Amino acid sequence: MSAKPTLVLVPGLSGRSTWDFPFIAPMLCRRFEVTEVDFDAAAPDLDSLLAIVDAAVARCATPPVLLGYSLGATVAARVSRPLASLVLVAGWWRPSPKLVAFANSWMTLRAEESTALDEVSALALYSAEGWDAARALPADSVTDALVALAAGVDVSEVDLSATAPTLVIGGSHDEVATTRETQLLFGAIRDARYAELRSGHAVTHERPAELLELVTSFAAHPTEFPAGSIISEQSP
Amino acid sequence: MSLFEPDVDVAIIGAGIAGIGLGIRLRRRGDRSFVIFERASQPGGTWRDNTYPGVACDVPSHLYSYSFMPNPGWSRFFAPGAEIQSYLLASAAEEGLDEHIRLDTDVTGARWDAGRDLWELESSAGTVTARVLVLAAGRLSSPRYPSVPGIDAFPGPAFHSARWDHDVDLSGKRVAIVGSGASSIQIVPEVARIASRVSVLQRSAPYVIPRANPEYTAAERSLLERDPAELARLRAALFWRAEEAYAQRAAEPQALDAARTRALDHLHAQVADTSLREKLTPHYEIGCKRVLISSDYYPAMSQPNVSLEASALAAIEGNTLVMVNGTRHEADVVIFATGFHAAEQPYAETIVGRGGVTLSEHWAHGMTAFASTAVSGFPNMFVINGPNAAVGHNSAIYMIEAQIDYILGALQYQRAEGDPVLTVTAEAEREYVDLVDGLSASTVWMTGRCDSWYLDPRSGRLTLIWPDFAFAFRERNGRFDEHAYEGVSRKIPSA
Ligand SMILES: Cc1cc2nc3c(=O)[nH]c(=O)nc-3n(C[C@H](O)[C@H](O)[C@H](O)COP(=O)(O)OP(=O)(O)OC[C@H]3O[C@@H](n4cnc5c(N)ncnc54)[C@H](O)[C@@H]3O)c2cc1C
Repeated sequence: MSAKPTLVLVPGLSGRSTWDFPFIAPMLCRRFEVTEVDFDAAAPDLDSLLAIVDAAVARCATPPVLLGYSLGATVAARVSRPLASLVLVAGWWRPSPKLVAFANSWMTLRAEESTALDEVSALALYSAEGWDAARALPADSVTDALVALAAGVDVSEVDLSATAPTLVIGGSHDEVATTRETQLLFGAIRDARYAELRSGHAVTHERPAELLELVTSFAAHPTEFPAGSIISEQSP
Repeated sequence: MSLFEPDVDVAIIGAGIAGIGLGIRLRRRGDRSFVIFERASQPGGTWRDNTYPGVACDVPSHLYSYSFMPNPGWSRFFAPGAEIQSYLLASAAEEGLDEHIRLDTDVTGARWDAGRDLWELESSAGTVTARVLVLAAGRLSSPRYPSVPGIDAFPGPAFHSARWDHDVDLSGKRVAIVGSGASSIQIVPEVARIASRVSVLQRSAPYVIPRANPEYTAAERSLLERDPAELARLRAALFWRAEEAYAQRAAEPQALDAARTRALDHLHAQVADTSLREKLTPHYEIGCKRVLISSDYYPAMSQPNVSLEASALAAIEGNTLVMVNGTRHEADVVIFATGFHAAEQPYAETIVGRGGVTLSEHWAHGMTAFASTAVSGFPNMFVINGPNAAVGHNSAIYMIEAQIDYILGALQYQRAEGDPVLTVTAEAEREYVDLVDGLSASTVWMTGRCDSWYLDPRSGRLTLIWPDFAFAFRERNGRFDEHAYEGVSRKIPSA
């Protein structure tokens, strides 16, 4: 039996792959040897997150598909090891004012131990259409640290010239990373194509099957769409 | 030009969703040389045949419709059967198919004529030759009755759910309903309203999940009419949401747990009686058989005039239905909600390919095809909704449309290349079957410990269901690729 291709999943603000990828992780396991990265509260500065992801990539038997979501996308974009391909989901080029405002509200409501926290975070992260998928982001020290960090993560200062074939996936209703900042990743990365899903920031919860389709078909044929392509939505 | 000009270019057997859909797409590309044979006196297939009380689709209507014939007017989330039938008739008429459909024409056989490179069809209306044959004869179109002694001697009315006898008045009658599958759970609540007694005879309990079926408001329907893009978005959202359920079929433990809990919670919430609840509890994994949706089946089962017998039918003696467990049930009317001949399609015996081999011989160990559509040894023939082309978690029409795309691609290729005969290689078919077997091995249909009609009883292979996401079916099988076909033999050597 031939070995399965490898794939590394990097979570977003929750820091937990099981939280962020409840659907796509087990479904990707059918075709890939999947590594699910987790971040913990110990010193989450950007360098330590990058070291965790870099180590996960290094452990793969073959250059993996690297998929980063949200904050995880901004980390994945920095990995310089060889990759089969790179998928950046709901990431951002620069932190938008709305992302900063989200982080500030999160920290304020956490400090106040506010009962409004769950609803406020869901309002920010989920679109109206995907509201039935909304869940409260886990409120603990891991998330606190990652949310605080996210507000300052700027990819525009990273050298993005030598990346593997990249798929940038945005959410049409993403008001946290913001669709615009996700699109700017597409603008900034040379070998990138762009696809957009009807979703808020929480695209891995709102549109998991559609995301799976995009990821698996891109991973199978990373250069089917040439750099610079906008991949149009399927009409089932 | 061919030496032997066939009567028609494309002959299609069956005017159900598949045949009508292919016809519409052919006409839209300007093709006129095709005929759709339909043995019944109306098109519609499933939705013409199934007129039982309560009949409705269980895939959302905005998804269970042609992508190329959107219908802003669906009355409900799950439209009733009659509305689906009207939609199909209107679609066929609007697109000019009436002149192509031959009603009341039963195709009794078709034979590949290797000397003339064409199909010769025998029908109740005579012989017709065609260059290409498309089997769109359905998968759930031949009713199946239990083979038990005495079935033909029942003195009262007895009929199949797909052959409902509307002349029989069930009010005040003792009605036995054989079966507890997708049709039965729609029928039971309706019959329980009027019959004096209903006995439901159940071989194995289904999993049932709640069904909310809101009406679309006038404002919603008008919006969808005014803004087609909104309708497309709704359809896409429904499609991708439905796809999520495939995780259950792939036997992903958390998805299975969540789905099973949802179904059993529904049972507990709706059935208070513990012994009834016990009988209604399935003893296999969820998804192994079709997961049913209903919010009025369990309440109906709890009514005083309804009884559930958890046993299989063994025999019919006069007015009495005798069960395997020895119990006896008297009835005035028997309704067989016992499904269809699915694994072995009756049409297969009548289709004769190269070398005189029948399709049923080729399928002696279960249906197979390359790309679920083309069969080796059967030149210029395509089958829709045949081997591994069904889904349990999403819309059959999505699958049918992918197969239509494939067939149109093949016809396009032939036209461009001077009409070469297309016969898929045995090797390509075998490789595809291996792929399907590999995909199905870990699915709940194979591991869920149930006895389902999705498996071929002769080989135990999963032959009806496509064991992956619906999107994966379209990606793999929605586009014609000539490389799987035998070195092309041309009718007229292109000298
Ligand atoms: C009660 C019921 C409910 C269903 N609900 C759903 C649902 O909610 N969602 C879903 O996805 N699927 C559902 N299905 C499955 C359904 O069968 C398909 O969705 C779809 O209707 C199949 O269309 P078809 O054209 O392939 O076959 P059919 O509708 O079966 O049409 C085949 C046609 O071929 C004709 N025919 C057959 N043999 C011959 C011959 N030798 N000569 C001439 N004509 C012939 C038949 O008379 C028939 O009209 C349901 C099925 C049933 C029975």
